[in-house]
Amino acid sequence: METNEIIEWNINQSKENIKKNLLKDKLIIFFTRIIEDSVNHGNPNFYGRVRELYFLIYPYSKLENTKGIYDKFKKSNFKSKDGLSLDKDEINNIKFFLDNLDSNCKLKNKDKIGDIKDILTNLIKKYLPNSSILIEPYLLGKLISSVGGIKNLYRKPSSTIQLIGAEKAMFRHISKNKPSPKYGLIYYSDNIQKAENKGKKARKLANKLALNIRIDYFQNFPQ
Amino acid sequence: MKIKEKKTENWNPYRSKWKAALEKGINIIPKQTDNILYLGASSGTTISYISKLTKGIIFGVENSPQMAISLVKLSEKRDNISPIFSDARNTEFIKKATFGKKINILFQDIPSRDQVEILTNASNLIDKDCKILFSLKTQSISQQDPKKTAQEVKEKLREHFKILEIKRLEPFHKKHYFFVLNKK
Repeated sequence: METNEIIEWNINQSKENIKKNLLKDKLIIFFTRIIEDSVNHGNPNFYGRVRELYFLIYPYSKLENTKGIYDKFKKSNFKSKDGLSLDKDEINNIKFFLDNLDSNCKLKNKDKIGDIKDILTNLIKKYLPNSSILIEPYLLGKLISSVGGIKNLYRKPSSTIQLIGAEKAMFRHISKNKPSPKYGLIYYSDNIQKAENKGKKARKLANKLALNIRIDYFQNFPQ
Repeated sequence: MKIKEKKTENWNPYRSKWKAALEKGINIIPKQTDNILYLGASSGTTISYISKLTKGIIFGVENSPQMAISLVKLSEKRDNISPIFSDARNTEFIKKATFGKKINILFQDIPSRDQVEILTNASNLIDKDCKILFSLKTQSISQQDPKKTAQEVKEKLREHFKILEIKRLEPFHKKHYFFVLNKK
């Protein structure tokens, strides 16, 4: 075969395979980070987040200017040949989010954060039904976004899931012989807040969470 | 020689293992007609410089979708880069995607625990006269003293390869070694 034909075949083949590997957990991460941003920073602008979402749906576009991307994204129909494919509900959710932004890409009304939280809980209950019984959906989204995806989370053992978010204390324990941490992000769930012996409860919860995430991944996400 | 220097003047040794090895005195500039198989291409920083030095095809293998997207974008601009979206352990797919082209240089840069096994597995794809360049990150194999780990890896490699040269990439990359090998 000639070199041109080899390169063309390889580009088409890898575009096809990349599309299979873009999962819906990126949407969960997107909505979680928007809520995190508005809790931590008051009233921020979302140019960077909108740009991230645009390159998920249209990965091979050549646009560079962030403001140009924001204007073009409002008019598009959210469908592309080789990006992340969405169903009707998800398109409506993204449209709802974009309609509530003003010309500076800030939220028009801060009370709309409540609606975005509802979108996130529906999304997580659809794709992770078993593990969202054990822990609040927003915390589960935080766990996924801090390790960078569902694929990284389901491979982790339960003792690591227990300590996500407490890395600084863990390495202090290893290097300086300080007392070891017993919980990370998991600490804020209702189950542990009520319990008397919090360390023991955190270990039990992380144990069951590790099992349920694996069930959810192999049922609802294509391999 | 002047033309080659001009083409690579912005190449940063702190971001590329190939350039760091050149700075250390290993002579590995590819010939004009060489075909290259590059395992662990990432977003294609090193590949973009090498594609100016040779006219043969460069196959870049990458597993993460986010990085492979920018590799595909790069290959649409140039005319001798071919992306392969696959695991580097999956030699059957790589053999199918290279269409039996003869490979002159094999480069591997994968910071993983079984990086030596990946290299011995991938050496089934090449002939005896192919040059093998291998960058070893000792920290991802074991946390002990890097000299000890490099010694252990050397004895493992001696079973399958002839070792031509070893250099430490110290000021540019910490705890990294660079090997030049040939198949036995």
